[in-house]
Amino acid sequence: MQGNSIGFWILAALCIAAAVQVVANRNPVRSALALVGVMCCLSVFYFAQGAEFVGAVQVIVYAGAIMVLFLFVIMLLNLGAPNPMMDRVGLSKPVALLASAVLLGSLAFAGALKIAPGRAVKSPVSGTVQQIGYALFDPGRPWLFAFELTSVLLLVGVVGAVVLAQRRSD
Amino acid sequence: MRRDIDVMAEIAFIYPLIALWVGACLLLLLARPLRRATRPGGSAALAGAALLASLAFLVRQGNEGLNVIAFGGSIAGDPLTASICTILLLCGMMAVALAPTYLAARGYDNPEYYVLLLTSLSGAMLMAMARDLVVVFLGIELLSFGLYIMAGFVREDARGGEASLKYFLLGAFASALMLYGIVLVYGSSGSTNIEALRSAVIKESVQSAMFAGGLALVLIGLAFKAAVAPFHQWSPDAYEGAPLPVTAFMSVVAKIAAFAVLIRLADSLAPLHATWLPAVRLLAILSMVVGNVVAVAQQNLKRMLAYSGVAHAGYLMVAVAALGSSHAKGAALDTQTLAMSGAVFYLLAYAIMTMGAFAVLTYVTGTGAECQTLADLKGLARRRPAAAYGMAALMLSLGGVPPTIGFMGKLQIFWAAVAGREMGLAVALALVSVVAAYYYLRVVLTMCFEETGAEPATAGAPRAAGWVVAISATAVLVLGVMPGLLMGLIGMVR
Amino acid sequence: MVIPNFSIGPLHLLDVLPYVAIVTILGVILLLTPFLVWYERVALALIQDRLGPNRVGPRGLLQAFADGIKLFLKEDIRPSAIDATIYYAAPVLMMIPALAACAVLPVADLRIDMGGGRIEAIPFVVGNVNIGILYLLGLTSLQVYGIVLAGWASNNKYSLMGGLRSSAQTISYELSMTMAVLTGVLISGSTNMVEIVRSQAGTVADWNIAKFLPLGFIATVVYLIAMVAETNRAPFDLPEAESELVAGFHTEYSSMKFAMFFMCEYASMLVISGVATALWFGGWNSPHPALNFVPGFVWFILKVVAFVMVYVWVRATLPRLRYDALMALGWKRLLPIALAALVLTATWDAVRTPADKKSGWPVIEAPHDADKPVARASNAR
Repeated sequence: MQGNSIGFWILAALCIAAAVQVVANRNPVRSALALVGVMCCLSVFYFAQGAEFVGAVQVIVYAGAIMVLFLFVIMLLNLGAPNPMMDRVGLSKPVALLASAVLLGSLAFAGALKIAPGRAVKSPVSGTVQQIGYALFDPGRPWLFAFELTSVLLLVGVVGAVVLAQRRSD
Repeated sequence: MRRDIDVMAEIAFIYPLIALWVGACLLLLLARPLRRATRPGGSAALAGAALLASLAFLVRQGNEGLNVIAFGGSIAGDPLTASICTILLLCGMMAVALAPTYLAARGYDNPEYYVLLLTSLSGAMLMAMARDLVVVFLGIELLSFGLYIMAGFVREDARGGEASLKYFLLGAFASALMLYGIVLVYGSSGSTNIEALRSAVIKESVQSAMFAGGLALVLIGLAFKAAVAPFHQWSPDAYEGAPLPVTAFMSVVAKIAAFAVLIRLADSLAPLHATWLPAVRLLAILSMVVGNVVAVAQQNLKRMLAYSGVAHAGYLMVAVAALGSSHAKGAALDTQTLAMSGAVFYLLAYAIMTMGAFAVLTYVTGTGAECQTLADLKGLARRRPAAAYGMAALMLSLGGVPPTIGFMGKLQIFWAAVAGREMGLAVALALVSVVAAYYYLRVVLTMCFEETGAEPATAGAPRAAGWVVAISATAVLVLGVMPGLLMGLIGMVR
Repeated sequence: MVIPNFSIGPLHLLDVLPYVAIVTILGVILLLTPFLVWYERVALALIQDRLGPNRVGPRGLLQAFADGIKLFLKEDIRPSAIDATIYYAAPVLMMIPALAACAVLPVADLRIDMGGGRIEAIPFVVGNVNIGILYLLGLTSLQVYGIVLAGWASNNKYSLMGGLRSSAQTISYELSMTMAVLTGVLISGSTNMVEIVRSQAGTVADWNIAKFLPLGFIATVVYLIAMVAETNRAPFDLPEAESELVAGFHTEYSSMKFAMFFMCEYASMLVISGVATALWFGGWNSPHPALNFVPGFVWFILKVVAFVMVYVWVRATLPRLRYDALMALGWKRLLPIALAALVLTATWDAVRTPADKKSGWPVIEAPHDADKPVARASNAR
């Protein structure tokens, strides 16, 4: 128990530090790397909650594929050059800080201070592959439809990418 | 144990959606022959057929489709859903009719456009059907993906690309906020199902700050999609840069879908009124004021219609507030019905008016340069009298001048607001309408009384767009005089 | 071969087994690397009809050690204007996944006498986890960061090109590899590496490569091609392509940092070969019950060595792919084939399974009970 929660706090601190780095670091490659760190921390959280499948998929999909693509694009556009990406600071920074402070404040108010009536969401399924499969493809549950819907969404994404990338000469 | 679920009946409920998806897939499969066809319009015809099939399925469902709960309660049918879906399909048909000539003139009459249009429309319909926030989110994404890409469909046009990118970046941000909100709602209540949330709210077991925060983020996401001030900043740029047929589709469909969800949430989560009603009132006032005041300064018609869209979103927010308020104050069921049918009526009115206005612009554009500014409309009454009179009717309706559908719609919302004891909003609605009349009438004056050296129009005006203008202008006037014709569609909302 | 379950003081065999496995597997992989280099050079020399290493030690066996010592003593050059942190971290980032992946490699099934004549099969593996294969996929996908970051941090255009190529290549082939692996998972019916190997006990015909003919075979071939691409070995060694990019991503690395990249390549070769063995070629299982007297780990090692030979053979035979050909092969050939194999295997499996064996939807507790307030998890603890 105690060990678990110590681990949680260490990991949470790491995760938040990495998340702050994503936003604060002026070097896009390092930002992307920090995001990889966040993804990995999240994955460990999932593992700690017993959601093994989600944890593994988090690493495979986000850290292993999507973020590599991010890095690819950053490097291809050579944004990693020393000149910082954000030259204009202006009003946006204080406004962003204020907005995030408000959001963070209300969340802390709601969650950490336990003003909210305690309500733990009982995980509807435990995280093994079989159980997730059974839950996801059960026609009596709300998730099958959403799952199938994502396939339409992906199709639209593919069509869109082709539309934007194809040459004009038909 | 295998539960007894009539899967086929549930699938039959989404035949209208499946018709659209099958149409999209057919367009993709037939892309090659369609591109090689010498006459443009083949793709549009196929898309139109898919829309008609979808509408036929929807009509055939009739009363059966009103009580279906499908796929574990993630989607369901009720009168609101049915009427919104019908409106959406009609908008889709008009949008398809506007596209071929415009796109062909720019070398982009590709089947992919209609694929995106159909899937986008299916996303909007899903939002109307959804009873689960996850499906709402997927519907929004499905709707938006198509819109993002359609906005940049004519790639030589740099402003189209800018519009697409701007819409995409801000839209993705709004989607993320909304998703975060859904997560917070789920975290505090243990469910994403709207019915489950409703029962939880009634038992007052989830009136936590976290739940309210989540709801606020969901509201922001929807307000963004509906271009409600102060989340409207993307809309003038996106409307201006996108190709005209896309602007027409985008302005109408996204707004209707977002309001379908807003109305449903307001109806279901009414017991939480103290939390969200002030926010809705604020959004309504801001939207009405910002939209109408800034629209006055616009010389570009697309931007003007964008701000007018913001203003109309404000009127619709008044209806939403009236709906929630009548729940809260324990008003009679009639009041709620009034608010809800008022909102749906206004959505229909907005769809016809805005679609019609963009159809006029598309019609005047023909195969030439886009007709965007007030200056482009100078002397239209002489050049193209029919289009000018149509535009005049539509503008008067947008301005809420009797006897048009716009007037009837505003009247209904005004009544609903009064009945729901939202006096402040009712007064504001009446006041800003006066401002609104100014800039709509200016368009009419420009068309009729300002002359230009341009020669009278030659042939080549798109016939389909002309039909859309004719139909919408007629509808605006006829339904303005006899709104009762619509009661079959609207009256059953509750 | 039955091993008695013994204890030394407070230490029981079953408790220390994972630690023994860690030490053994890591030790073998790290110690084997020099010999692997020698093995590769000798095999290459054979194929190319020349002598190969023959000066240092008997038959040149110590050549790799000599090279290692040379690298160790070389100057550690620090190029100018690099991103120092990432530059130094890159080789480490590459090494970690390669070694961590060993954790789920099932080397052998030990038969342990639990006392009272009860004999249980205990796998000789560091972590017998349920999602072993997903863990492996995750780590393989992380390995690309080492190369990409090395390329980026070196402040060298050739290195950058190498890193770029590597990221594109890895993403492209990872898809096919994952599809092929999923086919294997479907055939075995488990994501646990040990279970996958156990499901292939018997003869050669029971190995996954021979099941669902020809689907298992097709998936195996796809996996083998993708695995060579994933490890950036010839003919997929575009990230280092010496004739175009000097040495690609590790152009600017010298001394031990270079040696680490070098070692990584061989370590991941071994690991990936081990996965291929476990997934498609029966792991520790012997090809025929008559050969069961040979211990499992011997079969495992033999198979892995055979795969390394395949690696070398391919390297010696095939020229390097052009970049567009590489992409075309990955996206237009391998991916559709792998997808088709996956779908067909699933269909076949569904059709073949008798109706009474098909599992219905098990009853899992109700998903939504928002009505009942539940105690907060932290309080409940």
